[in-house]
Amino acid sequence: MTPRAALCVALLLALHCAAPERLKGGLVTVPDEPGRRTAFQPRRFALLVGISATQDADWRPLKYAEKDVADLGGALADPVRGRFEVVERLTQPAQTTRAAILEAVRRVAKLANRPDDILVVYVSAHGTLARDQTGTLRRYLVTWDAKVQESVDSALGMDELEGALRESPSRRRVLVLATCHSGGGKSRLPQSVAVELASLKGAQLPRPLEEHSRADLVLAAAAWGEPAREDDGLRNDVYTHYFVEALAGVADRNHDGAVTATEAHDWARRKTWDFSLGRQRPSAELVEVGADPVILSGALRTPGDAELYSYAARLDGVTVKVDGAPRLELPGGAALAPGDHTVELVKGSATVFTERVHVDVGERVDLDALASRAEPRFTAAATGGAWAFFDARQRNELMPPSAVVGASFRVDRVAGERLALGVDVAAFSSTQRLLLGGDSVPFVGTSVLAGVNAMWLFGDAKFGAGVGGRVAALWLSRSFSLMTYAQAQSTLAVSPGAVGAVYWRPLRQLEASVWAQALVSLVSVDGAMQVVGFFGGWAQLGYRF
Amino acid sequence: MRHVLVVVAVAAGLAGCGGLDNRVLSEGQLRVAVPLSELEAGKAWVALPALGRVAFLGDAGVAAFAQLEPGPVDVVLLASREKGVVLRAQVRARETVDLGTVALARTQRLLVELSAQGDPDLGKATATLRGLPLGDVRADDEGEFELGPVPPGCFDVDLRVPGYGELSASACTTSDGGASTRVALPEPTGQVGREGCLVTGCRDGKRCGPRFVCE
Repeated sequence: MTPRAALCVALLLALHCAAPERLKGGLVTVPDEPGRRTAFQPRRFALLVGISATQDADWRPLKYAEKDVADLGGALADPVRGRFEVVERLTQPAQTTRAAILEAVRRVAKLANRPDDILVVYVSAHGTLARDQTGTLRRYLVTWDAKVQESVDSALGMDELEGALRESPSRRRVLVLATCHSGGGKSRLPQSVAVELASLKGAQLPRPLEEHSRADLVLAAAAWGEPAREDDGLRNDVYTHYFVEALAGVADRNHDGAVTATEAHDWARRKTWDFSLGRQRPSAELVEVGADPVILSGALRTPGDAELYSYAARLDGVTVKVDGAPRLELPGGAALAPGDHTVELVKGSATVFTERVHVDVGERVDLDALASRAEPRFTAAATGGAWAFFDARQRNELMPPSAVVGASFRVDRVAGERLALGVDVAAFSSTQRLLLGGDSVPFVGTSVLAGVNAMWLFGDAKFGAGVGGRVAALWLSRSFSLMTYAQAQSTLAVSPGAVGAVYWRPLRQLEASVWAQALVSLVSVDGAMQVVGFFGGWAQLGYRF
Repeated sequence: MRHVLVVVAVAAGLAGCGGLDNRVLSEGQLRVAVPLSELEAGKAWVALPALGRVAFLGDAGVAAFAQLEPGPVDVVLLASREKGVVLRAQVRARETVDLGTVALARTQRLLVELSAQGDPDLGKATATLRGLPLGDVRADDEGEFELGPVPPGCFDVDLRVPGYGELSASACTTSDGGASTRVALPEPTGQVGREGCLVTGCRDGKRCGPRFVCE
């Protein structure tokens, strides 16, 4: 049997096995029993904590903490928009002790035991900072039983609160902190999940991405060190007021029918910023891959408009222009119509990034990732410079300072944003002179310097610098045509050392840089090994792609 | 394991290969020629006695020495059994010093006479002109050597006298060629190599006495 015939037979057998009339390997019809359809649907749980007063009279009472909880609870429990199955409110003294809150968080965390369940923990209370037993400054939530003088032992540590929240198997956990000094929470997705979702992002997905994305979010009413405010006019915590307002549907910027956590936060953030005249800046920390999956209000009816968004710290304050018009100041997101758009990131008067972007219906574009991808990663350069031994005697008797020209290649962002790996080779040959015993001895000197370096780069798209380690192979050759000696000598040595550079990028794809290196090596001189140190510098002009 | 391999690789690289040698850049050369009319081909030679270097002259009558340390050097040239010369040359770094065609003088014999207490038999003693390709010469019964022919000049002579050990002396030719250099042998001690007449024996019926001297 020929291989082709064997392949045909195998294909026929495979098709036969998958035929629908045979149960083995075929599709099985599952009866549509009541309850089966909802058994694996994501559920929504919320635990809302409002601490107006404390046992210790030194804490100033909050006027609207209970009302914050009531308003938010009403929005989440609303059968039309919020549709949360469980909304537990803790506002009474016995419910808001340190132990009671922790116990309640753990209890709700256990209820939200499916990865797609949504779990929201909201806190409207005083927050404080204190140094723990190790002297580290930590954030604390002022519970009913917290004492001003004993915050570390009596208040609830934010780390402890987040830890209890993380006990939930849910991967759609949101911690909303309407507290003072509340901007430093931490949350991260497991690496395996991030990789999995990153791979899903480019695929054709049969369901809206929101249904199977996962995210951890910490939304804070104020940036680190800033006080969150209540307002008598709003009769709420300012951020909470606008957060609740967002859940009514006004924050559905992409018109998909649902208000996600980031949409609600972005709405509340802008409103709070405007209301406080810039004195209170709500912040968000999130690990999100794909779409924001945490729907707090409404339901997905359509894929919605496309969205641009970024919460990356490096893009804070950057203005996003779409087709020439300012649309958004980062962090945050904005919806835009499907199609081709020119997206610009502008910081001050400088355009950080410009690219023509095509967006489809319902697509979410991470501007940070887009800017990173668009940034050239490779640099090929022509180099020219010189090197010399540190020691004057070695410069006189072994090899004078030598010019070299060559080429280099560098890969940026090898691991993380800063690490770059480069290789380079440079060489030159010319007539030079040794100074031996007062006499000048002519020879043809050739030096070849080939190295690899790992550099940590700092700077922005225009200017920057880098430092790192380097290992170079130095090959020296001296060819003499003396009356008494007409031979060539050569030596090869591996030389470890350090390298540094500064760069300037006048254009996105053009980089001019100046490099310096210092290396040490062992060279055989007159039959004995000798330590030689040498330094060098070169300029290079590179093309980035 | 990977780190160990890296360290080994780097260490191997550090050790390097090849090398640079500046010593060869300080060396000089010396060239000397003999008039062909004076040349006894196959027997003529040039020696640098202090360096133990010898070059035999071919039909062209030219000899050269390379890789010489800079500084003064004595050159002994023997063109034939009758003609030769001793010169002093100055070697210069990275240069070839050409002595050109040198003027020759008539060669002479170098006489060396051993003297010792008593009357030992010194017929087994040998002498060599240090650094010259003339071979060993054996003394006559009287302990006298006739060395050469050599050009006029002074030479180091290495002497090996059984019973008295090894010693050296400087001997010079004289214009009349008649004078000899007298070398007094040290007193024997009876120790190995210095047994005196116990090894040499005695002449003229004398006997070897208790102080290893013929009596």
